[in-house]
Amino acid sequence: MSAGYDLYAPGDSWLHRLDPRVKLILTAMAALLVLLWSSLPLLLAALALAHLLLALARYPRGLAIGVWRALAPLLILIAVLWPVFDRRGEVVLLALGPLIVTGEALLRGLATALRIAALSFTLLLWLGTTDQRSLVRSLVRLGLPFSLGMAMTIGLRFIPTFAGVFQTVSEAFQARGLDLPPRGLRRLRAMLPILVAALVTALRMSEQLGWTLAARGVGAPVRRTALRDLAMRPVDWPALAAGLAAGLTLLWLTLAEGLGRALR
Amino acid sequence: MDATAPGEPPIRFERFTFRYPPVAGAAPVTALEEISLEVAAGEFLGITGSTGSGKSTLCLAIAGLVPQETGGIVGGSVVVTGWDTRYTPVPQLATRVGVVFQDPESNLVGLSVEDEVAFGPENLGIPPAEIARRVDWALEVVGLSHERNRLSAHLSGGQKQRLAIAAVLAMQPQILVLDEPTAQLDPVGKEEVIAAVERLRQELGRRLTIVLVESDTELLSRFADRIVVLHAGRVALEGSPRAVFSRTQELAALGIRIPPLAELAARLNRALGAELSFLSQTEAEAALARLLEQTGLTRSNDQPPRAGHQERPAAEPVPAPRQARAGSLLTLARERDDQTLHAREPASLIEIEDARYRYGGVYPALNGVSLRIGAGEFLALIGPNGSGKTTLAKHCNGLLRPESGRVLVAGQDTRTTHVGQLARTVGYAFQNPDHQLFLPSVAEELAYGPRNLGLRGPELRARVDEALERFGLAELRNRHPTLLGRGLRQLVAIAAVYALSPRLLILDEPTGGLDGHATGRLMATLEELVAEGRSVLLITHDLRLVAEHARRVVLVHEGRILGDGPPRQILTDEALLARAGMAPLTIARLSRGLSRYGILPSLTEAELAEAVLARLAAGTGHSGLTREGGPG
Repeated sequence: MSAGYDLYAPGDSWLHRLDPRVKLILTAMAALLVLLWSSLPLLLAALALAHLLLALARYPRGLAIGVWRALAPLLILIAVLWPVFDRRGEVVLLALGPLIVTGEALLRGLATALRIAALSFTLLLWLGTTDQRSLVRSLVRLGLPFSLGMAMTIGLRFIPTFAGVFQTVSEAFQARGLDLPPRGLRRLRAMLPILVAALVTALRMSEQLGWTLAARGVGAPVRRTALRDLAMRPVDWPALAAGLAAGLTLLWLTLAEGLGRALR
Repeated sequence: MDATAPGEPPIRFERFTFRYPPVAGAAPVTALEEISLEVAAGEFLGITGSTGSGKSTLCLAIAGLVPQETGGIVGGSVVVTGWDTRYTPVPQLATRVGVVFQDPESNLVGLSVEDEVAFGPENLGIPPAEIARRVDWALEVVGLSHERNRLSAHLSGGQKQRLAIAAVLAMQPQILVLDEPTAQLDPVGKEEVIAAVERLRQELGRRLTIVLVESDTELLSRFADRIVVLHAGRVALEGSPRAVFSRTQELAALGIRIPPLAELAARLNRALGAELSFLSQTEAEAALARLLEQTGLTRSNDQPPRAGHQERPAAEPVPAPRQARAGSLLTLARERDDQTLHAREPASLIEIEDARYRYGGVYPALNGVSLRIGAGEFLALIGPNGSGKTTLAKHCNGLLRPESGRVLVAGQDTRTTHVGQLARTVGYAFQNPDHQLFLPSVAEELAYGPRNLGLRGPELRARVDEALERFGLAELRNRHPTLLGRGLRQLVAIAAVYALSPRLLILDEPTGGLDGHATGRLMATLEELVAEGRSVLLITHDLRLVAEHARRVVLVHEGRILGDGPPRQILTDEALLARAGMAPLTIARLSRGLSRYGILPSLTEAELAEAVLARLAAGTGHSGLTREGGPG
């Protein structure tokens, strides 16, 4: 079951083998660029590049489609609601009483949705090809306190567990005659008891997990060691250098020359 | 592994008292009261007790988690390898005490197998080369070396518990505390964990002190050097397994399930005035063989002596009983089996026809199952984890619908009927009570289901009152369910499903959190329901419970029904059980070992005692013995 919630797809591609710190730095660089850009063509290009790299790394298409499916409601919501609240721009496309939709606002909504999609797939390049151990270890080696890295690992692991608990609780309530409407607010209200019971179970589990961590020496007043630490391979350095050079150039062009800052 | 001061026992409780911090304005709950106990270096101490006796708290206290993580009021002290657990930080104590909890999910951090084992030593700052050596060794001991690169989340329950043991071993503790490590496992997983502990015993011998908390007293009697029985937070009994488990009446009064061989010995002793005592099957077989031979019952009575009888195929017919008289237990048991076969004839409550189901449309779970359940049946569904028991049961109330084939519940096709609608006919109590309790009082919890079905006013009240009464919960009607102990929460959850007044009640591992008393009460209630014409479907790993109560057993394996028949037919068929990876009951195995003396295959201690006494009577002519050998 956990596989369904785990973005990581094991593999042996060049992207999988790249040192997780290099991947993290380059992902951060790319994410920064995507966040700065408003240009629709540039954001589309970034999104296309991310998909190309995922394909080159043989990332399963099913998982990538799953990410799109998960993002879809949010993206649609942004694209639809943005123009309603953003009054900038002169070309009025629609004026219905207090509701005014301008052409620019429409494009801005689209750009924001695209930015979120591009950002998500940039992060997927990193999360989808880095196992949990390397992921946390790279963060810790880059200065994240170990306890935070630990919390991240546990948080990730408990997503499927809690999803499983929620599923079971939901079945237990239906078996007691709870009628779950297929959708809408009524469904949300009907789900309240399920949430309460799932939360109680989750709390019981997390208490025990806290004990397990303490009993496994977390918080011992010694310097932590690692069975296998990360080591940069010769090929990781040029990859980092090339990636950084490209990224910094784009960043300079963006900040100094205004690359991608305009909508079109 | 640095040593403790010579002469100092690794674990010493001195008049230790502990009260959990009060919850929601209630008074603090006393968990342990004036415990004084020493555990010697290298000792294997077994601890058992009824639910709420303080077993788990004792484990937490050894690791310092009580009181450091739980809070609460402490009196007296626990000194572990010279360290007072009240003041020594838990991570420091962790270098000498390793704990494995009951729930496989909460024993692991969630890394790969190798990283999980390395995690503890890494936290302690052990050099990497040494960690690598320890990881290799620990994985080897628990038999997980070949799984080292897998994610722990993808392991089976038994593998997860073995991994938890390895993770603790890698910290090289002097003391290993196991808190019901097999309670949530199927028989296969359980045997895996037991084998790992056995291997550990061989490998480390007296260098490791082990404290094993178990409700399964049969398991304890196999391993422990000494047994401590807790009751209401105090030490109620203490001594060698032989001494403690021979006090069957006291144990029963304390709500402890007695190991089957100890129960058998006690029954025979009561009838014969003898002093039989056996803890292992080999011991029991030898002692009973001696007994049967002494009374002139030689092997030649029924068939020629043969060597290596244990290798005899299970299917070989056993000699017919010459002394099974009307009214004897054996006869009664057979009559019960026969009645069941007749009871199945009338119109079916559940009709499953060639049902197939795959999870996510990919993973096959049911591969063509056909099953009919009638009114008044007491049916047990057995099989290893992942065999399809729960999937099959969820088809009976429409939680799952077959991809092909069909399921009829009281004539309604589950594909076209709403689950909530089917809840009127089929009640389903889930394994973990916390998955269904959410209301602030027991009475409201019980009213929830019937109200969903449209009951209101006096009718609803009457339904709730009846359910409270039937499950002995009347006094708890206004208590908050989530603040009750695990055993009581389990009963509330079952009563809440019963309150729907279903014609078929499905219970998934209902006795997991229950002690002997509560199990006995629950099973008696289920028997009542069956007598009233309702049906009960019990999903369980506890074959002893199945042998004692079920009238029909369905053995599921790999999504198919491997066997369906009376308990005697299924549970004595060792070859059939083995095909599903299941071991037969100790008593069934023992009775087979004694078949050369004309002992028929038996399922329960009472039956085997009766059979032995009947044979003895046949040998000596004292037929009066059998009556005393009946159920006490």
